Amino acid sequence: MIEVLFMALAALIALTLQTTSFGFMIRAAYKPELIMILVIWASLRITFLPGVGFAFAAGIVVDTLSGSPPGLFAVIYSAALVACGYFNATFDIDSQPGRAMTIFVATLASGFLVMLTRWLEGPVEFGWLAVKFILLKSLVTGATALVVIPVLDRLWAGFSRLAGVR
Amino acid sequence: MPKSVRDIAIVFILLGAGLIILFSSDKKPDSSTAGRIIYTVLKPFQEVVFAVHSRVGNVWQTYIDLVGVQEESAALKEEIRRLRREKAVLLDKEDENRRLKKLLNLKTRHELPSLVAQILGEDAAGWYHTFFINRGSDDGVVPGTAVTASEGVVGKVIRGSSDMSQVLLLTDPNISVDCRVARTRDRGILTGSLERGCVLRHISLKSDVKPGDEVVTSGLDGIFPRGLTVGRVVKVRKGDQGLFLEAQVSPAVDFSEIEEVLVVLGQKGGFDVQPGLEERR
Repeated sequence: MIEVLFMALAALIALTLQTTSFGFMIRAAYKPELIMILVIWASLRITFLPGVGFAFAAGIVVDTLSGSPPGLFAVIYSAALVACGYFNATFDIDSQPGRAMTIFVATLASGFLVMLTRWLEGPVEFGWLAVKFILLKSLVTGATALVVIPVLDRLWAGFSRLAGVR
Repeated sequence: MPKSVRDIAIVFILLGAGLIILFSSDKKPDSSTAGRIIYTVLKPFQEVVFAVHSRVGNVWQTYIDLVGVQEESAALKEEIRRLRREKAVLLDKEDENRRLKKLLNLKTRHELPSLVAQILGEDAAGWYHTFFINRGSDDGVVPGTAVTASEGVVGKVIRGSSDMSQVLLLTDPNISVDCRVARTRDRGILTGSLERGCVLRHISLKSDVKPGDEVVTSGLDGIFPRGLTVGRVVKVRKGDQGLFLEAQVSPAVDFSEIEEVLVVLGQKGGFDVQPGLEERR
């Protein structure tokens, strides 16, 4: 329950930033996917059930606050959490570069899935500029993770000590 | 039940639920209860951030404005004199125009009911081109409502709650607007393009459309009033199948600059023209 509260607060802050400040600071299209960073962080730090529940719920919220078809990000984030958990158990990716690379790949995959759904819905040009857009956005998200994940770790450490989570 | 089996079952249930929502969802714009709740929770936070940003921006702008203020003041006084003269001419023209339009029994677009709305935030994921405005169903804004700015068309409302709505921008590939090239009167369907701003598709091969031509709404889609500026043609090429021409269009509105928009409230039966009516005129 404490984990869920922490994740809900983090998601609320991330969504507020994502829908407001980032658009003012950098070119809106390339703003980092903070929720994806949170999902990957949850897969490494939070127990499985609250983690996957969070990924699904966060996806539904992002679907509502984005132009995506309902359910798309719920599937993407749930799949990302499960895949990241598996890769961490198999290859131990929980290091600073490993986490950034995982988030880069997860954002890249989600970008191509978004483009695929767009392409299925109607005529969308999918040339080099679209690929460049996905690559840049993934790079920005991966680089942001290098800063955000240590901050999340510190916050989680303080929060868990305060709330008595093991 | 073993824990691992339970976990796998939960993953499958959640992924299944997501896929069911994805494939069973109505493609039409909606305003679900969940959406209304999420908008209601997020709106106060967005308003606070927006207000802080505006204040900081104003303070900075005030400082910038003070630099070279005397020189600017003299230039502005001259500008005011010139604008007053132009305003008098324009008022006269507008009066004449209004009288002529009344004679023709046509509604001008300025007579359409509309609301000013403030932009609160942007697309949460950034993969889609949308933003939020502070007007909702309480103000008569429903999915499908046209949104414009002084420069031209901005987009249309796709979802909303009682006091907030989500607007799909002209540059998003999911939008389609029935348009005309103002000079040649050729019709086409304008969609957003990830690569090239907007693209006007299905233009007749016989068309004389050229770079620099203005593109305006035709009014035939029942969403956007007729004659609103959309943008300018940048490049013309043959479509993929070779049956139509395609024009790359640069939107008239700079979406990164606008802070307020005009929401054109819908009217029963659409706007000025019904499909086919214009051809008969």
